Amino acid sequence: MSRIILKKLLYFIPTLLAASLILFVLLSLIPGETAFLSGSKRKSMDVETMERIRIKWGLNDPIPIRYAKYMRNLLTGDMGISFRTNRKVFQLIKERLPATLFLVGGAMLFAVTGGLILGAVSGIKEGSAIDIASMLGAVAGISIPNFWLGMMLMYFFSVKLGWLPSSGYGGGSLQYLIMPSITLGAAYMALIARVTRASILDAKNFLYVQTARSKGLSENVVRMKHIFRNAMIPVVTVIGLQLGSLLAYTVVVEKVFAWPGIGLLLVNSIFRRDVPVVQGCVLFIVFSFLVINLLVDILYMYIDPRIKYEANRL
Amino acid sequence: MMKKKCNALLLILTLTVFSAGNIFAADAIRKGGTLVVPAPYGNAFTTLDIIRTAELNTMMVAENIFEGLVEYDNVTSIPEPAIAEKWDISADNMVYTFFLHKGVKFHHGREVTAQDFKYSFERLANPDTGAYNAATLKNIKGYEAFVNKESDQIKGITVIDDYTLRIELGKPDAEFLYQLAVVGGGDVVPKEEVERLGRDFTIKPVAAGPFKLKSFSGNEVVLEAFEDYYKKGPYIDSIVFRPMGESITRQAAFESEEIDISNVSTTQYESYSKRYKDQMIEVAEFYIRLIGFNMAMEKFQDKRVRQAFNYAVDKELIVEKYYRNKAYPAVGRIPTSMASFNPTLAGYSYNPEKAKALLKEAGYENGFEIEIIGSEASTYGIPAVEAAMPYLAKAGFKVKAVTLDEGTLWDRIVKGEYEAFISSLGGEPSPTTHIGRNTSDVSRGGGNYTAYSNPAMDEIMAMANKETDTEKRMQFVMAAESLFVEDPPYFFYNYNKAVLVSHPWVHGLVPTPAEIMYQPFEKVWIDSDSPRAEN
Repeated sequence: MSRIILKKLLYFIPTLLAASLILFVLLSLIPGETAFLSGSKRKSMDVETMERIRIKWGLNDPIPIRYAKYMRNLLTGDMGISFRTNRKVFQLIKERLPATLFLVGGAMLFAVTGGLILGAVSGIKEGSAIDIASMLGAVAGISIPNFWLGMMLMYFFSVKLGWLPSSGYGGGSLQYLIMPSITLGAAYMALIARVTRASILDAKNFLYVQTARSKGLSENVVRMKHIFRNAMIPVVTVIGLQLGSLLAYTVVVEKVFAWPGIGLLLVNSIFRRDVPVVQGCVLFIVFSFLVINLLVDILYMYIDPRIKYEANRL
Repeated sequence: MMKKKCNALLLILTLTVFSAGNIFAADAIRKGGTLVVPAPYGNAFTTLDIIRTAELNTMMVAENIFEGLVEYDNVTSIPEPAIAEKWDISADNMVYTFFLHKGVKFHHGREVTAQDFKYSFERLANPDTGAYNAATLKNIKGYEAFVNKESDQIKGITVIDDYTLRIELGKPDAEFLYQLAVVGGGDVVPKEEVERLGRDFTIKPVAAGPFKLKSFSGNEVVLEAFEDYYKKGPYIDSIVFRPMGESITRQAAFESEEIDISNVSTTQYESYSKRYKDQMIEVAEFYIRLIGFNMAMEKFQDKRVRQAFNYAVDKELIVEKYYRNKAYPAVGRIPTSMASFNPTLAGYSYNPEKAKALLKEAGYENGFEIEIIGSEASTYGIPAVEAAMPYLAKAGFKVKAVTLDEGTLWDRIVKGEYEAFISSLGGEPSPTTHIGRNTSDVSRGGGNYTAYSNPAMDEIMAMANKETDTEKRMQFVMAAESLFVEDPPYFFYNYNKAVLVSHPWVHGLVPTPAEIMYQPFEKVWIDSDSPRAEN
């Protein structure tokens, strides 16, 4: 097991290197003058000042030299200085990270528990009123744009009822988390519910389920040990893969709820061509993806020992 | 003093102030309480370093922490005494002697002296600092030598004694005081704190403004009243700034009374005008939305084409229907709230027949093809071009509109790789800058985006820059503007109407044309109806 994990960890290095190189070249090629765009709303700057700022940030060096310098610093743990704010990129990311993790964690908790329960109940009670209602809800969950959902929640729970704060992070208190995580997690929950339901329906018809039943096992044991466990593989895949896109969707939710996360830091930095920050954020996201994939792989082995066996043989 | 009065009068005439109640509140000023203010230009705070960023969210917060020699009056935008209680200007306008208030304190307790200003100016100019605003000092004698590291100090800045500072200019600049008053342009900072805090100074600034920093996070900046502030105020105990980039977020927060004031967006304007009729402040900001023509291109040489474009569009109707009245149709280049606005300027009124005739005279009877680039911004991007397209088509302009992201857009504008562009320009309170940016010696990146050249106008602007008498200088600017408008490198579309709404317990807000969120919070107070009146 640890050998497999170690091997997977080694794959991280070339992936991160490739990602950083592609990103660096792309960011250097897209039009847009960093020094100028940092000037924000007042869009003019005299030529000499701009040139001095370019020299200060090393923007006049050729791309390979800039990349080499960047990598040299990165390897010593220095992610560079943001052009737009003159602060350390690492600091900027560190300030935003708790908010992002908090939001993604909240959304995931909501989506996974809600999705599994709804999906399982609908799968077992196929065709019942609960099944129909929850699947209608799932279709709605997938189709409703999350910014609209966010606005509606805000309107009812903050403006009309006054139960929850309308926006903001509140330094991590739970009441601020509720609406953003529902908004972010709704589509994710709906997806998990549908996949769970479908794979339970599949698993129900397998021969080993019939065998278990004919052995005289109680219905509960059949459901828990034979149906659910086998139905979990596709569900875990979906949870893992979608967790990545959850990170991508945070931007919209962050915008609506004024949530100070990484997503918006990234987007704003792209618009201002704040290259070091974009680099830092993207590398962070790539790294998170890799870690999530690794966790999913480990979870697979736990759920289905056959996978561990296959992996060990490689 | 008389001049100031004249200017103020002019401004009162030209500013559209709906809510007088907020300004002339008769109640006695109440002390205490907390004001919660949205920072609407982004969803997080990244820095408070006023000289090394141009983020508007940073500026609107930091201007309450920092203080300079002079500062703009929030309403008239004329430089007023700040730490310099008075000043002398030599007859040739080249030597400024500033006399500082005695007993002005930094937030950490030390007294501000003239030496601190010299240090702060040199820090601003030093290329190692990388200040985006460094050029505000470029007319000071010895600036070039200092930034090129040929000298270890700016020769033109002399400390006479603790309370007297002399600044000698290298070339005449009638609006040098305006440069010093720019937010982030001439604020004083204590050397020992800057050096002690190093890079942390960006998030723990120490200065001499009316508020000092209590806490900073990406999600919230809290300022508290500086008890040793040398002027009157502040009356409130603290201000909480919360970043809220989306108007819908601000709306929910305002309606649930989580924030005390908010700027109003175009989509909210109509309903807010009804619901909060007596709680709104409106002003024509120093910004203008316009479409610029690339004057380096052959096809724009004939001014009749550009005039035709200006005649072709019914701005009034578009402002009413598309902008839902949250804009003012433009007359010329200078917004109505500026001291240099010319009320007698005729501009271009809607005249489709004349537009067609001018195009025909210019030889484009079968239509004139034009590609306009712009961002997706609804009020100053391609959607605003689309609103004008039916009119333009009727006059014979075959418009192709191309949406770009801001970065690419400005790259192409500054490099001159375009036929026409739409954007919003301006922001500077200095009344000559708006026209002054368009003289032929200014580069595209420096603000002459269309590469405009008009020798007659250049000449008038050169005289304006030398003229120390404000009234006369304004006359020069107005004369230059009429030449500019007669031979227009732009289609003058409309001025932004900035709108601020507040809850009835907030007092002392004013229409600030430079940027509606630059409020004089040290003069603002809240009455006991506020949910945050006590803490």
